Amino acid sequence: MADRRPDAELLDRLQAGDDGALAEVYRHSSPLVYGLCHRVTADPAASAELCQQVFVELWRQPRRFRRDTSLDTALTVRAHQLAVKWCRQRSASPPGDGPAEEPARSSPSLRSAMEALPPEQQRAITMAYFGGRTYREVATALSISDGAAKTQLRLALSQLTFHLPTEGMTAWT
Amino acid sequence: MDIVPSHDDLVALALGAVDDDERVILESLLADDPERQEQLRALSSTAAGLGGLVTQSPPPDLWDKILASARQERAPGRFVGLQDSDRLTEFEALRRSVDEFAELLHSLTPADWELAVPTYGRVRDLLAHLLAIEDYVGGQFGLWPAVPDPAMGHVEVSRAAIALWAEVPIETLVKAWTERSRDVLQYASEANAAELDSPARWHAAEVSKRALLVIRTFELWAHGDDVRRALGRPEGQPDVGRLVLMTEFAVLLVPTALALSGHSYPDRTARLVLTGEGGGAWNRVLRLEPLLDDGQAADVVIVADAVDFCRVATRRLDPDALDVTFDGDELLGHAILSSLGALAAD
Repeated sequence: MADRRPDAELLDRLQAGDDGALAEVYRHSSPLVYGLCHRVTADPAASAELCQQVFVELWRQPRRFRRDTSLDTALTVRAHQLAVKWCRQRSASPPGDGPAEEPARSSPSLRSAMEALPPEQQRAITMAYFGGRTYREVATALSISDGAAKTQLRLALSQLTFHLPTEGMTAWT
Repeated sequence: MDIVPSHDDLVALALGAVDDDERVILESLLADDPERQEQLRALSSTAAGLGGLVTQSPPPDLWDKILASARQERAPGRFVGLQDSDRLTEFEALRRSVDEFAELLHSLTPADWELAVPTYGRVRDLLAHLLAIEDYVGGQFGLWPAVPDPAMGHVEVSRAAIALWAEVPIETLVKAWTERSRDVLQYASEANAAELDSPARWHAAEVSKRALLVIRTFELWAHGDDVRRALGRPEGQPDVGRLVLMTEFAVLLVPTALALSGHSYPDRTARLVLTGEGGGAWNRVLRLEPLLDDGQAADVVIVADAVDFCRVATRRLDPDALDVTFDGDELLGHAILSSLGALAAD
């Protein structure tokens, strides 16, 4: 696949009405967006609809996307928001509680880092991020206090930070 | 939860691990806290990286659905945020340009009129040139007798006028130009669609009267910038409505520009993506009919700023100095840009 053009250029082209730019963003980012929606909702039809919503929003209002954040990040954040909202609206049993599935393409070091997390941290972040659970629900599931649940989430994210694509984020504890 | 959101609160928020009620509270607490807002943004970006664990190809037919839905939201080729109310008639665009140029003229000091400008000599000679062109255009509109040789070149047709007005008091020159340009505007405001679509001469070319109005809008903008440069003032930025007309016109004439430059690519295609306010995206076959199928890939995609593209078309910016991106046949792209200046009579 050809290298993706810089995000700033793609946003300029989207604003100009170039649907070729939308196609390019979709080509590169749709596995990320769709994959996350599917992981959180475990519903292929819902995942497709949510993925569609993310990209149509990008086309409709490209000027809302900040230039100091990568498009991949912005699209992922939006996909996650929509997927979690979908889950909570249906009060579905959180489908994402299990460990992250074998990914199609992801950093081996990220997978290893996830697997290397202490079990409670791994469960906490999996339930929260991929399961759409609130920290209170994580606390209940793990039989810990709300504060302890938030601490586990903070520690897990901090541990994974070194293995995640960053945008100037420095590790913290 | 603390009144001041803690790091742990921000992490939970970044992971989406708070319920709606708590999210609203946290966001209101962060509203006046730019430092924590920035921390949250960084945490959200980091959390988004977790998505890399679960990538999965979407269903093959999803893209077609997205494209269809996107096109319903906003037609391709249309600049985002462009409202129908932004669009100007050719008359309104020219009226704004005439008003803007008149305002520029009234800001000039006696010394300013003697400053040098390209091609015509002094600022006052440029105005004499524009007066001659108003005469030319009015003749094409039937307001008064047409110039004897309408095919004469754009610079040549005004040489006699420049000499005639060279020492006439400035006030008289300005008054003459103002009256002529208002006469042309009066015609444009009253002409119906059929009249505007009827043919007229523009030197060696035959164009519609409607096109003449856009050409005049282009010219007044370009010459306005000639005067501003002579004065050391910033260049003028056309408003969205005028820029839309100008870019659409310039894109329409790309095949003409190529022909005037001695190039011929009748079976090649180009996609022009002009960025910035008033820009847009167009597919062109490089003969005189536009491409109708938005989905067909072009031989070259040219991406450039809309205003700078128009500057190249008026020969106020060298094609080599244009900040441009090509995708596809770069040689074809360069040929298109280098020929654009053929549209400018000056």
